[in-house]
Amino acid sequence: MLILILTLVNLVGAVAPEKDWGEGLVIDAVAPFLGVINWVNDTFNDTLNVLLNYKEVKEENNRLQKKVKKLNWKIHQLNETAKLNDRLRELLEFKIRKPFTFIGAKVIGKSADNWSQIVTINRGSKSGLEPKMLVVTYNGYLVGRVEQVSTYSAQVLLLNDSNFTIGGLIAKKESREIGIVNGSLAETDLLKMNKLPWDANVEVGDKVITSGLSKLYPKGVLIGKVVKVEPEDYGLTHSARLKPFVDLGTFEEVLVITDF
Amino acid sequence: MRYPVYILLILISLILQITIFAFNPVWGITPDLLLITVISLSLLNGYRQGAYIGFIAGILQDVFSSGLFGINTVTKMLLGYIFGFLEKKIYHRNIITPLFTMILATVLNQLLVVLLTDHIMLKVELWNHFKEIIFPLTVYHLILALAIYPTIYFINNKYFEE
Repeated sequence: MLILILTLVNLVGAVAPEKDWGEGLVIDAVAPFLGVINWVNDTFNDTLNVLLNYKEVKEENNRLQKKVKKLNWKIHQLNETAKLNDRLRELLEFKIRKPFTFIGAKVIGKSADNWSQIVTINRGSKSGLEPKMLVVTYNGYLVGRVEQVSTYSAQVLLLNDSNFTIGGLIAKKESREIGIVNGSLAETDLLKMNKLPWDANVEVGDKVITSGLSKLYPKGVLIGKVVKVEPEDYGLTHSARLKPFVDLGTFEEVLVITDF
Repeated sequence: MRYPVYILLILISLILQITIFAFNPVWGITPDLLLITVISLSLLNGYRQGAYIGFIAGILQDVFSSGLFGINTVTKMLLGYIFGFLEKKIYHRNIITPLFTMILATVLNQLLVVLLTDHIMLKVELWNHFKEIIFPLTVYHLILALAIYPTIYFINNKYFEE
């Protein structure tokens, strides 16, 4: 009987692996409420902040206005340089790297238990999201991967979830070693990079980017910095601990890479 | 009329849990409001209803978490069923007994999750986990239950007591 049940369970997984068993419907039904509560929470916090630190906010406003003027001038200069750059590139017939296309989204909910690291964002298949797309912050640091997509919202599996896996590459001139980056349960603020060769030239402080070997994910998205290297599998491989560039507990807005 | 209201209560707990309580974690943990709601409802309604309510709450929680789908469904249903047996045995107006069951339920729930998920069982030391999550979680749940149980008791008594 038990064997029969187990076989059936496995068969269901094999026959319909990508089926959405109404999960999307539930997420879509709940998502609007998440949005509303989030909005109330944000407005409340912001208003309270302004009221409590009125003087600081005023000073900051002045400072920022000055900065905007300065930056506007700088943008103008940079535009000129960009034009020059384009012209020179054309002359040299340089291959232009295609930039990624992004969709911005807001985090409206988090995971419902302490074991998983998931966030719900307010964009779904209607905006062109698909599972397996990578999610980054505004500075281009990796946050996670889109898992479940419903019509108006999507769930993102964060880097430090124990089910998250992606190919990583040490970004250094003298070593381009490849390893597998995993989230870990024991220390949720660190990631683990496994299966580095035993003679890999990896040091504390090296940057790790996505490897792009699988064609599913783009290459060159920044993941984190090495903080510890230790031997594993009785010295046959190395494993490194990475600290993600993003504080995975606090970000509020993200970009989804839809094309690369 | 009774069940729509219960489902509404569960939905409210879920939404609060994944927004306000998850965005402002205390001691780095998110409380399980659904667990408190399920246990409160099952203490007031008995084991059969407790299991139904636990099932619904668990499946909703599973949709909003990663990993093995169904783990929260199983644990919540089981706990709703077990604690439902206390319905006739405790004095509902006194909050002390429900609070004690809440402690027991929190610890049992966490241990069940650990036992049922092999990758947690193998990778995390139980004692560390106990110190870092289960203990603060229990205290947190206790404080929240002080507010939630009386609310649910009040709703139950005012509208559904024949």
